[in-house]
Amino acid sequence: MTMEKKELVIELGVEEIPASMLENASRQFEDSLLESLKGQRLSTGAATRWHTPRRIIVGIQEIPASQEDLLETVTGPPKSVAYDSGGNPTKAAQAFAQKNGVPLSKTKITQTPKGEYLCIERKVRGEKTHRLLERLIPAAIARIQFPKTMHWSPDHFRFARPLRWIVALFGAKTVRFTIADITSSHFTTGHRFLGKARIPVDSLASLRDRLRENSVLVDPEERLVRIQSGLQREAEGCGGRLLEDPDLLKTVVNLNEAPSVVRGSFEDRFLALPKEILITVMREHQKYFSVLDNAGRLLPVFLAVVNLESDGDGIIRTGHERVLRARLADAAFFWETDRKIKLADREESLRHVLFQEKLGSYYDKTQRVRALLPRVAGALGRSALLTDLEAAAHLCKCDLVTEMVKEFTDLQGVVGGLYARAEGSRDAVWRAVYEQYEPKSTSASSPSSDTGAILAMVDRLDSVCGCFTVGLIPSGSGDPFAVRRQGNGILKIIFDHRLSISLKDVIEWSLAAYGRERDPVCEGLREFFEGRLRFLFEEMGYAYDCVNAILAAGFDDPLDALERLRALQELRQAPDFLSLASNFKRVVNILSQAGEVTGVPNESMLRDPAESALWQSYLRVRPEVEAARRSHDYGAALRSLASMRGVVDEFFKAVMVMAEDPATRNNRISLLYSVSQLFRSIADISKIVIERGV
Amino acid sequence: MRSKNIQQIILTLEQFWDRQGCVLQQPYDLEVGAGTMAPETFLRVLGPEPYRVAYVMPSRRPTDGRYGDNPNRVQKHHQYQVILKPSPKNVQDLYLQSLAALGIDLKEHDLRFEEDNWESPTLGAWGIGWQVLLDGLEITQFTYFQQAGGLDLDPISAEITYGLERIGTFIAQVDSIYDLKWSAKVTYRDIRHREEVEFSKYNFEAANVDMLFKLFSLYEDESKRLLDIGLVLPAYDYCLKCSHTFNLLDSRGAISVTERVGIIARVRQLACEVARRYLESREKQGFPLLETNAAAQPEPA
Repeated sequence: MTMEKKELVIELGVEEIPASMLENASRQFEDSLLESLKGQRLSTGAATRWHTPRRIIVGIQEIPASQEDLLETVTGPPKSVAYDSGGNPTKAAQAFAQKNGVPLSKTKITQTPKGEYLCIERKVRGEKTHRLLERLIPAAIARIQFPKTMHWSPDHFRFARPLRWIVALFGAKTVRFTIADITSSHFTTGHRFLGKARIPVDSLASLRDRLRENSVLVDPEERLVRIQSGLQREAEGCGGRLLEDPDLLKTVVNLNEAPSVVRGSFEDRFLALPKEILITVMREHQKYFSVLDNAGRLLPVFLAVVNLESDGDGIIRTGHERVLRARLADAAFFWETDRKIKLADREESLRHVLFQEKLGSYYDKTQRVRALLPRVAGALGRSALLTDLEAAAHLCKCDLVTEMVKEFTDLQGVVGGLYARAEGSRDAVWRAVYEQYEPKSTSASSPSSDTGAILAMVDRLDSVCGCFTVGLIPSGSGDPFAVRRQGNGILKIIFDHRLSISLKDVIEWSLAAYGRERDPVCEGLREFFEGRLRFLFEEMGYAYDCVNAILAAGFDDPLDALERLRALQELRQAPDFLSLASNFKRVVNILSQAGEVTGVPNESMLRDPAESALWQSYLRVRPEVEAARRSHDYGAALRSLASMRGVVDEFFKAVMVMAEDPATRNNRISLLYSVSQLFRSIADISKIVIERGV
Repeated sequence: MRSKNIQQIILTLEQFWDRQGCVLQQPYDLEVGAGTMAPETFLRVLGPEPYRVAYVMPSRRPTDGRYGDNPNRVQKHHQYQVILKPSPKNVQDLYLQSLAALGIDLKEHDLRFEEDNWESPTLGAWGIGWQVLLDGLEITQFTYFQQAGGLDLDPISAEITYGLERIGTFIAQVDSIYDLKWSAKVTYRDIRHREEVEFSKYNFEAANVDMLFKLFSLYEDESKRLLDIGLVLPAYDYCLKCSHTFNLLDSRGAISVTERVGIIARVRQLACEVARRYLESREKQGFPLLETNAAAQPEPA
């Protein structure tokens, strides 16, 4: 008989959950439900997951109406205990049978890894899925994790926002349970203002369709399509093109149940403001999209996504226009008044702006950055930029005390750059100020100017090192000062601008600017940067074992590490290379067993032809590797190393390293040590994981 | 329908929340930065006693002064503050009904609840909630209090803080709050503009910094002394005076980076101690409102 299968539908009705948390929460809920069902031996068909700000919906098809019956084995005492030497059941066997409520005749002997045991087998009837779900669903709801939670109900249940209704159906029948003072039912709720409040549903399809009739689009994909086409239409409707903004798009998809796009306009006079400011005011504060003309200039219009199907009389548009006008008037006012005080004249006021409680003010920070710049620029061979860098360093934090940045904090740096430009600063100076907070993430672009790159790097270096000196060290999920992100920023700039520099040096210089010499946090910082490099390299798509091999060979010059990594990953696939790697593991093992080893082998003691061959090969390869290393041609270096494969193989076949004669043994160990050192300057290839392919 | 002036908005809200069983309190007679700081919120949300209260609270934020020149920013604005403890299941609906009572047709407007979690470091208080946007204009802060005075709250109160000027400009469709009608004949400008000019000048230029620093210390000492002799409510008054004095010093630019954190911590210490002692005092009194209100307040349908 085939088991009857049914559909499970759950809708969690909530007060508006923050847009950024929705997708993750609904995914967790789906995963958790699937996991619970699997844990109950229940198979599942296709799963569907939707969400809006007011609901998380999961549908799972084809779940059996009850569990399969289960044959369970209960193990008792070992056979040797259960039967005496005459083969008669002992008291232990009788007790076991009695405890399980079966006659002794029903017991069996079973073979286990530990030997033969007495056991019984019994049939456990599968439970009705409906009954199981009454427990599984509330447990799955309770497992959803949010970055921030609250409680509101008498049972102290925690969630992102209050739960207000729950639909739970298994094959059209309500699965009844109570959680957070809410009892599940088969009633959903429509759009807050356009829909009915109490709508019966009996399946996933009816939930979707009835909600659509009540002005709710449950599927985020559908809302996305509707918003995108509305944005296109409205942008083209005023002869422009949409300024694409994927993050904002994602946000508005999760802020609305019935999205439509409203186009409004603002007065031309506001176009005198820099584009960056206009876009930010619209985006950050009002979640509006901007529209550009064909020449890339901003048009005096905005596109708002609203939670209604239409704005028939333009009432909503007028309201949004009024709000934006006030915001832009503020911005225009700041733009005018801020410029009455020159940026440079604001440096003193930075004494009153706190950078970090224990690290002083932004004035102090500026001084440290200034002290670092000549050393870093010098090490990078960019001392010619120093005059511009100095000028930018003086100005870089001054916008923190402008009204514009106090109001639009996301524009820090950009505003300073714009003011500096308006005051006639040189390109290299205002751009450095403008770009100092770039890259904003590992996927965003680095500063485009050389001065911007160096300033941005030094500024972050100062923050990271400072945080370490006062114990603000990231651990686990705790990183209140976003030190990791700043570390990523430093490395990304190094890679994007191909800056070759010693981490050890810059860390020491930065700590010196804090008045700390030979500080023990140096080691912590070194490990921190190793962690950041590992993260970035893996994010760039490099295999973890290649990353391990490279980092083990050193990473003081991160750009150099990246170049070695690139070469290694490329060569990794070569057959010679893998076998070399496996031999190298043996080398490393032997050396680690041998303890401390140094020195070069005594050539006259290399009696075995295989060891001579290895030594000769080493002498041939070494200058090649060194030359390739000097020209940063790590591909060539690794290929030279790989050419040793044959002699290394031969060596291990023919030569017994751990010879009885200590002098011979030590000489051979020295030989291996020399070879290993040659590798170790590029990559510790013993870290390469060799997959045994089919 | 003719749009409501400010006092009609207040009257409508008073009537609405009266019907929801709220005590209609009068504004607290001390300077505060927000309705939350009034004892009717900060203290009433503590402990197990149910309570519903609504009141207008003139709120002073000295640094927001603009000498009467800015159409939307003032150093004193008016909040309409509602506390529902415990928060009823239909609290969002109640709020939306109150907007309807003000004559706002929500089928024709874009209303949304956008994430905005409230936090007050000086009160050791925080909550989870939203800012309510009406056609893009923030008109209300809606918060489920989680902690006040450093104490975890149970039951949870819902706090609804209407910005009266914001709602007024929305309803009247004016660009400047000074163009609002306060009563049928008198404008916001008529009764408030001069106050904004003078207080902006006072807050930014004329306030006596030395005196304020002295007052801060005096108020702080007094608050501590009163706590020591078990006069919790007067102690809280002096804590509020400290807070406002700090705000004035801040608007005078008299507080340095390092001082700032320390001073906020001192006020918070007072607020947390007041909260703890208040709760003890209510407990000693047997939480008198437990019975009164449990009987008086049916759960709204």
